[in-house]
Amino acid sequence: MSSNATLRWASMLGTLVLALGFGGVVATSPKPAQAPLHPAVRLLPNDATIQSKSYVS
Amino acid sequence: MSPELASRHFAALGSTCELLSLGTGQAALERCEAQVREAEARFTRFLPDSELARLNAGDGRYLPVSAEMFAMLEAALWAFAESDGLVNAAVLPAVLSAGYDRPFRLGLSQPADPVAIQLPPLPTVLLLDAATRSAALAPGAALDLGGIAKGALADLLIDELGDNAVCNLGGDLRVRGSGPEGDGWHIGLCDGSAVALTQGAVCTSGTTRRRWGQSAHHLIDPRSGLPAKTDLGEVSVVTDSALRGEVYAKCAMLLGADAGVAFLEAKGVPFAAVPAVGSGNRALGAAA
Repeated sequence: MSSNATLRWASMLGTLVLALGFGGVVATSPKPAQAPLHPAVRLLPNDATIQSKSYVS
Repeated sequence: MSPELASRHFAALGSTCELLSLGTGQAALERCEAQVREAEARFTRFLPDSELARLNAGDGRYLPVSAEMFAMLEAALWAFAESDGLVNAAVLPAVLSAGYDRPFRLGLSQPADPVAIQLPPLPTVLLLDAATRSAALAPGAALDLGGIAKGALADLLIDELGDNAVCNLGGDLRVRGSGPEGDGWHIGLCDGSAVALTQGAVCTSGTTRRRWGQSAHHLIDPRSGLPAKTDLGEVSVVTDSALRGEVYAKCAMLLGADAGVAFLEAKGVPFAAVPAVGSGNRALGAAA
């Protein structure tokens, strides 16, 4: 990660696939459930196409 | 033939919302937008006849509340506990004291001498009775459900959008499915980097927007009762749920770079962070 980007990731991102070891899909209550799920998370290259963005609102 | 990407953008929740879906068509997006607007009318603090406004004016009496409000209040109590009190929905008196007393688009003014408001812990002023589905708020206490509502709604409404969709409510977004390119939805983070994910949420908190006057902003530190003083400008967090992401991103912002990074690392979540302007712009360094 470049220091200019001031990017910090938890070290597991280096493995490309991250198992988030907590929480679950919220279906009927806004409270996160405790059932584990394992979404795949990958860091994309700089020139990747972005489909949506998280931002301060 | 690839499923068609449907998209819908609209202003709600004091922000911009974006719905993306593959294969469900516009009708599903329209239904989702209608639910966002219904939720906004229920949870806004700016309309005197909203359910939240009635609860805030309840003056200590138990009031029957909708199932949606009851669930959101439970979420607020969960957020308080999960954040050790840093995410406190009872923050509204301090938000008002900082000058945020009307919708942001109408323009705000910073009080010349902001008063620090001592905020009560949410569980001491908000009581819920599941048997009667009612809630009581202590006299003088008032809730702002803004951030919590965005995250919780994104978690709930992703179900409306099918198995391959993005529900982005003012930057708090929930993702499901493989996206248009088959490797997950590509989501931009606060520092310009991006991730692909097939399940989960990305949320961002910060002080770079919703600023007014010389130094006021919307992120109140419940420990001080004033707009937070933090050396972070923005934090994006990747989590399993948008509600959790909203809480973790706000915690990191309030804790500042050193303690905030330690907090997120302890939680084991990927994140991106941008220093606040004027904080020295020091690099945050690489994770161990």
